Amino acid sequence: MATLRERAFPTWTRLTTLSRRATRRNSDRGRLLQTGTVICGALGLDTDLSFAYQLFALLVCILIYSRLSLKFLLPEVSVRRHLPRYATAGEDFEYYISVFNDGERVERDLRVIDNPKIVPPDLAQFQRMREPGEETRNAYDRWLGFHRFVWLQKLNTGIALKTAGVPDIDLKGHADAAIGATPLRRGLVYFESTTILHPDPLGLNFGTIELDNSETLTVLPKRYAVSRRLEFQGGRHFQPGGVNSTWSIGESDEFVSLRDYRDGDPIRKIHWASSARREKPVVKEFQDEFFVRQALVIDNFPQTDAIFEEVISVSASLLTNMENMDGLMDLCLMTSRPEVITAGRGYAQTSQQLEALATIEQSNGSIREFEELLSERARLMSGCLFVFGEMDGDRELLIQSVEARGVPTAIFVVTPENDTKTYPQHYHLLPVSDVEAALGKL
Amino acid sequence: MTDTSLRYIGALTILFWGFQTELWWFAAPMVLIFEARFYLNRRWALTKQDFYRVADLTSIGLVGMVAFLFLNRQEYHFITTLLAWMPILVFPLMTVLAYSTTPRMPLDVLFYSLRRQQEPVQQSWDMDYVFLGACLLAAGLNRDGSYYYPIAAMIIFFLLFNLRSSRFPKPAVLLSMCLIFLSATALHTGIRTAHLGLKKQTELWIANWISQRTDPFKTRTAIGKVGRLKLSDAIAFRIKPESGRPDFPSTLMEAAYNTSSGVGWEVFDTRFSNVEQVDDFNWQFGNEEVRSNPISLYPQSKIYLEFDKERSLIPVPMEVVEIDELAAIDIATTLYGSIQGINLIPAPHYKVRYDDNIHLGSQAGPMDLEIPEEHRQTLSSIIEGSMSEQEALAFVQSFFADFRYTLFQDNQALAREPLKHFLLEGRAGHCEYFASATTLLLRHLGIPARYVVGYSVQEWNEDLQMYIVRQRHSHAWSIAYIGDRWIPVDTTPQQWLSLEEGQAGFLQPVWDFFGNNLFLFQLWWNDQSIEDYERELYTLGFLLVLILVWRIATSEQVILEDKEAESVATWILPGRESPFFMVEKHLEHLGFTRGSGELMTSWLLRIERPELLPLVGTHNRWRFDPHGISLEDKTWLAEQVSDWLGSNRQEDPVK
Repeated sequence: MATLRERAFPTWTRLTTLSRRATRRNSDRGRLLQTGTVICGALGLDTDLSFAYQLFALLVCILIYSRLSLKFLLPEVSVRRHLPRYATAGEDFEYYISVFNDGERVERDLRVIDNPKIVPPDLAQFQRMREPGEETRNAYDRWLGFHRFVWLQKLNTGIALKTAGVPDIDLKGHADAAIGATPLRRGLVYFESTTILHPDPLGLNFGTIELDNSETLTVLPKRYAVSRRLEFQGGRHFQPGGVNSTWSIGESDEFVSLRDYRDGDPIRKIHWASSARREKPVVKEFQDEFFVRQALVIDNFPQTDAIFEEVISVSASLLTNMENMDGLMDLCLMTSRPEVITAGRGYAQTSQQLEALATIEQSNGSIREFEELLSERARLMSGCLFVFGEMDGDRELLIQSVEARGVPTAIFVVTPENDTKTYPQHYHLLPVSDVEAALGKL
Repeated sequence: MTDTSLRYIGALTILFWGFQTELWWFAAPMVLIFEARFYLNRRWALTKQDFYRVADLTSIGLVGMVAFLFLNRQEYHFITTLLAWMPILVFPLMTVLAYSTTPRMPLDVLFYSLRRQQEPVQQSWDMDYVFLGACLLAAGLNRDGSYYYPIAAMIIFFLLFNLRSSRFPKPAVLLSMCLIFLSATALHTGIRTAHLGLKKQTELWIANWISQRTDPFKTRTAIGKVGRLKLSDAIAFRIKPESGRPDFPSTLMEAAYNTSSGVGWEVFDTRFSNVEQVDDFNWQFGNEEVRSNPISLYPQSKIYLEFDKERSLIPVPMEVVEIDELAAIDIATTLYGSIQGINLIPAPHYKVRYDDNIHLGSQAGPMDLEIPEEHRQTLSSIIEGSMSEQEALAFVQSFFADFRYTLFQDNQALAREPLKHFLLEGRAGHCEYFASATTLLLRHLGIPARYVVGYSVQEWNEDLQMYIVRQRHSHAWSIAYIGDRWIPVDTTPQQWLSLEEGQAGFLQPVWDFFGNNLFLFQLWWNDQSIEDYERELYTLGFLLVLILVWRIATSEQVILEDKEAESVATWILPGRESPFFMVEKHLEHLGFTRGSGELMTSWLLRIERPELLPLVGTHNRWRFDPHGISLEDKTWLAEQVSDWLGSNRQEDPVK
């Protein structure tokens, strides 16, 4: 069965592609007319019975004419896409496609649609995941799994796009079409091309012109509002003076003096006004200082897909929530090796951490290595936030390795449905089906 | 919200449909309702649930219509009637949509399967066009009138022209529509011609290929066929004796033949002669002796058989003396007694009366003694010499006594000389063998005989109190002319019915159950007439209308903002009938233009017309006083204005 299904996948992909093309090429009216033609054709078989055959002849001629006329007055246009820097999974947004008129006449009544790269699921993914509401489908649909395939293909492709109308474009001019888009998942979405649809005179069918136009969009994880009551207090910590991080957000009274430039001083410490006055480089000197440096530890060790996605969303929500706190945030995660991405105070920005979260996958790396990293960094931490999926002994060791060094922790666990495990009192439990509400109520 | 491109053209389409299908009484109110939405700015805020309910109601209506057409399928053509009525069935849904705040019909309203879907349904249909399409199609179901095509084309082109793309110049679109019209005319003429040609050809083929056993002139038998004969269990018809007891001649004749043609039988004289009608749908048979008795003396039975062709053979007992209530214009018989109905109208039953003697068929003639050359030797080898009629009859009966009944023949020798094989070697066969052989043997013995096909009437159903005649009860037997009368001679072993019964499908009782109940229901249904239920229907209709009015009045409504009407309303001045405007107009005509936003009094002062100032007060009250002004004041102002105009008419415009 499994191989049979795998063999069916390419056919299904072709089928969905064909259906997508057919949908694009016909307007509602065109579809209605085609259906009418079939009905009239069936009824018109017996010309003694009714005049349906006359209607059939008329509709057939209209459809043929409509098809033929698509060969004339082809638009000569080029396109440029204006994507936003980021989009968020599940959040509708609009972007623009500029259509440029390169031809000799005013272009009217065009439509434009973007073509993301279609990514069909593989068998492993097909077997692992279930379409939401699949249980309400009938037995045959459940057995065949075509609907699940279509859903997964959409999910993998990552974005649902609407067709947009293009305003009239003057000679040598351009017009912007606003495309409504809904990202369906986090990660990268690849755009391959843009299709221009031009109607026939009766508006029944559309001709298509496909223009190469590849681009990539980063879709950030879904984020939830976090309760304002969540004030995680890790104490201030000693940070060596003059670190990069103190320059931009450092407290003003920590500025100590100016001194001459020495080799190795970062250029951005140069005080340009004084340097100009003295005609030699002068740098600012800062006092060693204390500020908050927190860590967010993400559990991306193997777990269920749905729970993992929520772990990412919870982490992204916490990162965004902490963004305006004056301090550093270390994002600790596991790829093939343990990694830390620091944001704040002149380091990377939260958006870069979110970008990392957008593309993060489950890792098969060693949990011991990760634990070592945490123990090592614990001395820098003012506090540590953990976001876990499924809890087990190894994961609890991670918590202990940090808590043993007296670092205050906050632990978030995304729990599966009907979870019977008992957790320590201070854990924040977020049921997978209702994470948003749980985060709001913290 | 309302697509005004359908104004008038929608109404025209519905009228066209009503005209073509002669459903005026429905079309007229439909047009009013369809068109009124363009003038009524009230819309009802209906929920999905409301739509679901109306859609469900439409489905019930559709199912009811299908059931009705099925029950009356003899009167109405199923598909065409259903489609002709489709606009009426869909109209409630259309109306609800047109007067709701929802512009398009979400597909989950129309398709039940989509209602269970978790994610909201995105697709929707523009029902107006679907509805108008249905109207156009339905209008074409009436084959009268040559104007269907031009009107339908005009409506379609008008709709398409309104929705055309702005990419193409108008003249090009118009020109292409003309081209489409012409090519479609050629195409549909071609289709019609091709169909007529094909039909003629097909009819010829069918006539050549299919020769039915109920042909009054010729019958083919399964004699000589190797393998198993499979006959259907389906119920062909039912017979209800008036006495209520199982009392009916054991056979029903469909056709009689007198000429053997090897393995088949034919009639020598193919002429039909009409039987004179005694009364409406009543024909009588039999000799003087029969007619001398009152007809009601003879037992009567009702045969529940509907004829679906205009001409058909009528199964009757050979002992028939009267056929009554047979919905035919005429009936005709052959010389040999087959009865054919002419211009038959579908009707559920006909009645027959009968006695004990065979009345159908002419006297025996020389053709009734003819034996084909190839059978003579076989027959001679069985018996030679002559004997009396009674002896011959007895011989024939005894000769076939040890023959077996079978529906299965496996001997290939049979295919070459079937009758010889049957008589001399196999000694087993089905009724056609027995009837053919008996007829020929009787002739061989000097007794005129004929071959008869029809049905054996044996199966009495206690529940229905009727005989049931199935397809597999079709039978063949002989009649012999003895003592100036025809008498039936059936040599087929009596166990043939039980043998056939044994072959019945195991689901037969189930089919019978449904078939008989449907039959009873149809009997009941045919007895009903709508007049019997008039009061109930009117009461129900009245109650439903009351509920509808109450629901319409109490549901949430939205008033559409009509931009056009609004702009007109703001443009029209309040109190515009005040005569003082004529003064203003006259002054403007003279060249004294009033600046925009300039007060009337300041303008009059500027152009030095202080004599008009007393009038302005009344004029303003006319326009703006919420209580209005009295009639005297109005008259006074009108007089003042006309006086002033009278004295100022002569002034020249300002240069």
